[in-house]
Amino acid sequence: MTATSTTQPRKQGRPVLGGISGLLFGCFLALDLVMLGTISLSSFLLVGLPVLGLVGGIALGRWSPIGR
Amino acid sequence: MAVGAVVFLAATPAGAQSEPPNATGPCEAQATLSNGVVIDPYVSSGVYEIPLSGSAQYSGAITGSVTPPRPISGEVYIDGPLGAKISVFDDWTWSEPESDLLTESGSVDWDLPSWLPRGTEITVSGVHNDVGFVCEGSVTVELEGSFFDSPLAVVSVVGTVLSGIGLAGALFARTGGA
Repeated sequence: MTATSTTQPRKQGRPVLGGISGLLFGCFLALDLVMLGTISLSSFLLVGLPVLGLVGGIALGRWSPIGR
Repeated sequence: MAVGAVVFLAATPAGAQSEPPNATGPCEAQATLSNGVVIDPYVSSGVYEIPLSGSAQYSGAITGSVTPPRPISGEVYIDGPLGAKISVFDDWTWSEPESDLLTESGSVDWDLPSWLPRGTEITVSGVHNDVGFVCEGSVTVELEGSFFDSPLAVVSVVGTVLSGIGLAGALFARTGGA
């Protein structure tokens, strides 16, 4: 008898897409909030949201929970 | 010079709300806008709405005891995130080893670009260092109009949606090589 092995295609995440999209999302969201008057121009969120978006996006992209 | 502090007031005019004064030190600074609104941070403060284009008469004075000539310095800046100081114009910073200046007045007019965001609160602060005392204060301003009056609003909303879609795309795993 010969054993047959089935190889599942390996699934990978999208950390680059997640990082870039997260960074842009954080930047645009911060801009939205400033323009809506929700946060002031001196708020730390202007820097915090893009950084959070970058880190969160990379983490989300590495995880990529759907379709694994 | 105190001039810079006065100029920044005049350059950031408005329609006022009455709140406690937001300036300290033996100085005076006042601006009267073309629409009759008077800005005087030694009397009251609040958020001032300013038009995209307009003009103002400004005046300022040192009321503390000084003997000219004397060294002075100071700056006017926009409060940025994480304590950043954003200086927009060269004359927003001054430093003179021997100054005779005690008063200053003049007029200023402006015509700001239409893409600037409306309704965004911008805090403009100023400080003047003189011999024996410091004058400082701030004014909060916002441009007249609503969110969508600025084309930047459309760019911002579209950018948020598109980057949100990209972020959602990162949720889906892809089939990799090897």
